[in-house]
Amino acid sequence: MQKVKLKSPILWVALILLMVTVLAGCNSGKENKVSESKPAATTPASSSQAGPSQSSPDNGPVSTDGSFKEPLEMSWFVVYDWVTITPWGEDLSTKWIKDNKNVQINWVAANGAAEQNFNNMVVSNSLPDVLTMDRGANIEKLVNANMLAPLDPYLDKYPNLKKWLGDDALNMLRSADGKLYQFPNWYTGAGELGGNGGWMIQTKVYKELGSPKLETFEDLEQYLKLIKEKYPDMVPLDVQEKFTSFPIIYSGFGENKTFANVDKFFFFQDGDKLRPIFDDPALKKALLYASQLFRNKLITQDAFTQTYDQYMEKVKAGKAAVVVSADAFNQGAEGSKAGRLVDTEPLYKAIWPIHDPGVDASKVKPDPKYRTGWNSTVITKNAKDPEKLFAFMDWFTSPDGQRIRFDGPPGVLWDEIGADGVVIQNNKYTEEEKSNLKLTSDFNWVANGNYFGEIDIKTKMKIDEKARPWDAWSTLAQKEVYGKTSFDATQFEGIFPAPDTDEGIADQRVKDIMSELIAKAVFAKSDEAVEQLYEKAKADAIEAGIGKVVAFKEAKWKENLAKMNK
Amino acid sequence: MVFIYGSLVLLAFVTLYPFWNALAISFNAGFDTAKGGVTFWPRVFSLENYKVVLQDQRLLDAFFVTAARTAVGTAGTTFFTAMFAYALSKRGLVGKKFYMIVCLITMYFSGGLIPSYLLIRELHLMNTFWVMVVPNLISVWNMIIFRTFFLQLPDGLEESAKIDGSNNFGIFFKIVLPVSGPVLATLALFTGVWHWNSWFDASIYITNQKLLPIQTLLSNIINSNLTADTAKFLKQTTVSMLDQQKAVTYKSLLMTTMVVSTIPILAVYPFVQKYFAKGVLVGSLKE
Repeated sequence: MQKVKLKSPILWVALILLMVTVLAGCNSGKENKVSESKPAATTPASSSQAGPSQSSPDNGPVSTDGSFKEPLEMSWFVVYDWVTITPWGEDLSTKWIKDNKNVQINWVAANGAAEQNFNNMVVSNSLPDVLTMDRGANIEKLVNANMLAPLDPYLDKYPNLKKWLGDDALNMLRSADGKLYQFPNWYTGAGELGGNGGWMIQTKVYKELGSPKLETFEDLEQYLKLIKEKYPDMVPLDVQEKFTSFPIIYSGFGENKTFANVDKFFFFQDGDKLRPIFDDPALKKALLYASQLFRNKLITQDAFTQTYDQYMEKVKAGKAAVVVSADAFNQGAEGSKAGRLVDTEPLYKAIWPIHDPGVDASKVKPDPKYRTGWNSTVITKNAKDPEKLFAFMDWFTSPDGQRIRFDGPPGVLWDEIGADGVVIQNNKYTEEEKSNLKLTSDFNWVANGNYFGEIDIKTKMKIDEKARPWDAWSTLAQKEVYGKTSFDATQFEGIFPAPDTDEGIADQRVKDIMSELIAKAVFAKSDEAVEQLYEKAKADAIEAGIGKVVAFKEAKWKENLAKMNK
Repeated sequence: MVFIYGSLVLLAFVTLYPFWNALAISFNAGFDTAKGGVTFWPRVFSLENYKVVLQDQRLLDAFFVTAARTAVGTAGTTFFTAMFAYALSKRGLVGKKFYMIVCLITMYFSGGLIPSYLLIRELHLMNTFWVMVVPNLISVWNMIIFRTFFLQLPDGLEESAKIDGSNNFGIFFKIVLPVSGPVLATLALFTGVWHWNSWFDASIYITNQKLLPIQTLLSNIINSNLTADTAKFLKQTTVSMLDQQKAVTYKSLLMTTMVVSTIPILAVYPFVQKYFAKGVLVGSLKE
């Protein structure tokens, strides 16, 4: 009796723990069934609601211009940590859409824990109506769990997406079951690809040194040595935080080599085959070159330790003589801004990518761009009326909708549209007043890159000649250089293995091997050391399974080509 | 001796400097900060940052939420934890060991994020003010400290109250709580600071922008601009090109918000300091 009494509290606790575990197990089973039956329950409901509008009595579109008779409200979650949310209606553009189109978007905040929040919502089946997120594993997860509304029934009723995207890019976006779930964002379709990454030089110092020829890697090395001699306070070559732009250096050692080869593809194209990146002679050459430059202190010595802020401080202060960056498009403009009122020309100038002497300059293409845009918007099955949401998005992606975002609503900065499609500024406000207007905010997640490309150039060319080199820096740089050196990587869209498969794990390991190799090689004390590191990394990658990773990606690539040529 | 003083001064400097730097940057005009190099004193003095921060409705809302949460949360936690501890300190309590074991288990183990999320959802606490207060009402760690303290109180206190006809609640409110001043103050301070600084629970459970506490808002500001500069195409409108000489930039705004959200809680410390000095050893010795 005494023994039992002593043990009894512990026995009690053990019993209760057992019960709780059993209940938890049962409940999680129930929860799954509940959550499985919920989508099943909502699908008949939503399809019966969608029914009348799909095979509607009048069979016509519910809205032709993005406006709705009854107020349309939707919850929209953009799944990134860095999104700044401006509540709908607080700036002039969204207020105009609310008043004139009767549409309200309720943004769901990521609050710095975007992925976390997304997972929570998926597990508890409380996804908002619309999501914007990176393509890949997460979207396929949602498709497989039957949580997204297919967009096919609406493509013909609402023509804008199809028109501006083009059929082959559209087919690229289809999921494994052949249906289209994704509305691309910043797609360019059949239009100009755009381009962001490459090289730029600080113009003041360049002029003072007599504007030497700066085309090949040898030219670059000479120039950097000159800078180091004459301007010891300056950084000869800056390479972004964590040496992010090493792959751009790599791309100069061959033709049609994009920085994605080193960054996430881990293969290079050899004719119509894809081979592991470590077999590419250009990679070794690039590592040797970068290592030599770093050893001779021609690359900023804090390449791996500097943060983005510190790097941009140098750029804005004009401390770097040459900059190679994956976002030179924005950073050059940012760096030249400060001197707008004092300099005779912008502080930075975009130059053609530095390349090896034997390489055809016109075929150097560092920046991979996807005609299908950089992420997608999807409509979940929790949305009460997916057709209405699509109708709104379709209007929004059309020139009429995009104009509201890029130029503000009519009646503020413009009243009429010119014959060339560009709005005519009404000059009602001074520059000072304009900057105090809350004109627009970041609410465009179905952006039409095509329209922007066409109109943006025309708008920027209308800027006063004196201000144009600065205010249109990015546009001009893209037109002259970055747009011409970007690589059409649409065919390589979505070739990555799921992270929890064998290939996915091998992919991650190869990625780690590559980052380690770049860091170690740059810090190596001699060329022989670089060679050794390279051979070791190559062997490690083979052991980690790079062969099957590349084979997987090659198979997907061939599928894509077939899809696009359908 | 010199070595000890020296290293302590160094430690103090290393701890204080980042905050001092933030203070200096918050008083410095934004476009000048962007050039780098602001260390101890502002180069181009400007009150513009504070004007913007203190007039921003979102920040003011967040302030109110944090203040309310700290007040209500601290009062609630202190009160409920003390009551719980008092009950557990009574010798005659049935199932006392059982309660203690259950509490200890919760102190060491937790269900994880997803089960907590589901629980909050089922309790209908999602996206309400109470989700920041209710789940934290009982802190087992603090409860144990309270309990140890209550166990040390002489029996005579309570017996004399019982003789005079008081019930348990009466004893608790009229006798035990007043005597526990130092413990209450110390633990209220700890809880208050925790509430003031917490941001993660709000970031997961609250989507209503008006209900975010200031630390979550600060975390949003930090996250938002880190890649916004490099986000493609997003800032190319003619209007955004006009913020050349703005006195308020991302960095200056960040520093100002940080200073503004830290000053209030710093101001509370001097008032509670005397309790703090007494209270730190509370619960450590049992006679």
